[in-house]
Amino acid sequence: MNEPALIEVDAIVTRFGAKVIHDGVGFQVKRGELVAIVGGSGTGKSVLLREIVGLLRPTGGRVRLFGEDVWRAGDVVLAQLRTRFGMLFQDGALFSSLTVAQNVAAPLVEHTRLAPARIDALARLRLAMANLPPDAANKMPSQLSGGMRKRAALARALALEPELLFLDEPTSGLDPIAARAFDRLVRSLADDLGLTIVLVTHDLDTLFSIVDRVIVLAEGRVIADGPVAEVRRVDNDWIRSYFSATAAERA
Amino acid sequence: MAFPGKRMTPDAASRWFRLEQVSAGNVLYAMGDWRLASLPAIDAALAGAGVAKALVSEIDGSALTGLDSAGALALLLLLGRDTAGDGAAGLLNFNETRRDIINLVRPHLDAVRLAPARSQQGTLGHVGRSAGHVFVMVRDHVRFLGLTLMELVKVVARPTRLRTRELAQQIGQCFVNAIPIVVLLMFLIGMVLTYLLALVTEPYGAGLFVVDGVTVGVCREIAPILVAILVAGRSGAAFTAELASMNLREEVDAIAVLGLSPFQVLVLPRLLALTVALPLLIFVGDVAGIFGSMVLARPQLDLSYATYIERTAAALTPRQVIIGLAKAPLFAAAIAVIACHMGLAAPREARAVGISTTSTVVQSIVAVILIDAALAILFAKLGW
Repeated sequence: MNEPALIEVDAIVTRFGAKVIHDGVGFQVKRGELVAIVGGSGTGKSVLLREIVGLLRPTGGRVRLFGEDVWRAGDVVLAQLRTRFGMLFQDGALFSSLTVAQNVAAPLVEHTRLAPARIDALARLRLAMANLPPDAANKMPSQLSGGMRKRAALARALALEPELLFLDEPTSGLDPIAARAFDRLVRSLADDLGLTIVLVTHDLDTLFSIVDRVIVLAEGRVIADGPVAEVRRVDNDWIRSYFSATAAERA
Repeated sequence: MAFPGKRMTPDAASRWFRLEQVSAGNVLYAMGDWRLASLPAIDAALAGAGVAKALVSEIDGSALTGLDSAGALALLLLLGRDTAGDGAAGLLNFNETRRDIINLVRPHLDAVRLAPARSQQGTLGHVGRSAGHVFVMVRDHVRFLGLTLMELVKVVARPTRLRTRELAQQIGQCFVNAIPIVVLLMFLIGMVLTYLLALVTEPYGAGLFVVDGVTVGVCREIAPILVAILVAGRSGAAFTAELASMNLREEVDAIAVLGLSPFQVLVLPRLLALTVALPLLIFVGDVAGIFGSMVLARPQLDLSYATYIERTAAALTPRQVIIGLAKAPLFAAAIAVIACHMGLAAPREARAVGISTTSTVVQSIVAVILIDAALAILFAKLGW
């Protein structure tokens, strides 16, 4: 099947003042893939994510989501696009004035005409799918632990049945057990709901356990793009030291 | 076939489903695209046909064109509670992908069905709870004041513990930077009062006594109250916001772990700075108010500056000024204790910074006015 790519990033250039962050970044993501973007600190991984979802305008280049040019699309088209993907921010970004259930319900309240009882049921379903206990629903975000906040935020990102999900450092700040559980959750979403997932991470375990493809950013460009097993063999200083960080433990 | 009425009939149907009665119960033939986007229409059709979940014993998915987890949830909730629990019970002719989605949703049905626990709270309960909160808050403020005074005693015993750098910095913030706004405010108030009193005294030809009214009024009551309220909004809000966000970022804990006392590092400098700053600001306000009045008295009352000053010297006794200034430390202590306490006791969340800051301003202003009223009664009884 020759379906066009869900995400097309083409020759992205980003400059903050004189500082060049991206100097022609390009890649594609096809439907159903689980892709990780990795790179050292300051290589603009999170910036790239914000440019893809339409939060930050790149200096140059083009981003297409579902075939629509994000930075040429009008407000109406962009709003429509945004109901088709979900985003998980690094620290969850749950609305602190709403309960967890209200947080998850917020996109449904805004974008659908469903009755309150149905919205409530859907919010509870999302929370349960994100492995949160039922009694978390009526808590405030501040009463949750870091791992639970991430799950709640994931439930909110899933509220509108998105086809595409962006995760910004999903396992950062979690203990190893919670991080692996979160990884399994993400993988099961990709498998069971057929979601396309793009995540930014530092976590090698995430790469080795759940990711289909790795995109490595360095020096403002994509220096490697492929399955983990291939990428780790690429002859590059950063890649070598990145993968050797835990190679000894793995051996 | 169209289904017109709202009453349940054995064979209900719509664009989204067809209901057929068989010997074992009712079979719902789900049709079309059961996804989130069409769920409002599906819900409306279900409600219109009066399909209650107890009525459906089996669901046939052969006519579905699409299904997502929201649609799957809607279908499963139509099935009776007993059949929904296990395996593929009650579901006919679902293809493999759709069965996967159903299986994804099915384990969570109990969590979904759990009735949301809403707290029932009437008006009376709300009033009672609020009163309780006020009581606890006042009690905690008093406790905080006690802790602060104990730390103050320690510092008095060993003055080297006083954080002079923080103190100087806070005095700069609370006093020096507040002078322009105090001068502007009191200058205008002095003018407004003069204008008002001139209006009242003019028919009696008692224009000269405007000076008495304004100078005594400004020094004894108006400058202390207005400047204290200004400081509550300015420094009080700043204290709470600073301390609450330090608390949020665990800076307060870091201070304690370094073996320092948060009271000595954070609270005492602010309390002392405000206690020093407020009387000084009130004095600045006194002068600015009288000056504003004097400037307006010449055109409005035909009083020369010399006459005005002469009359002020006769009317305004030192006692009036001192009473005005003597209230200041009390106001300052109330504002500082409330502000620091609200800041340090703020919950560790971003929203709490704003809520605590607002609360500090309201509480400080109420406290200032309560103290002032109590002192006014006291001074009246003492005949001062």
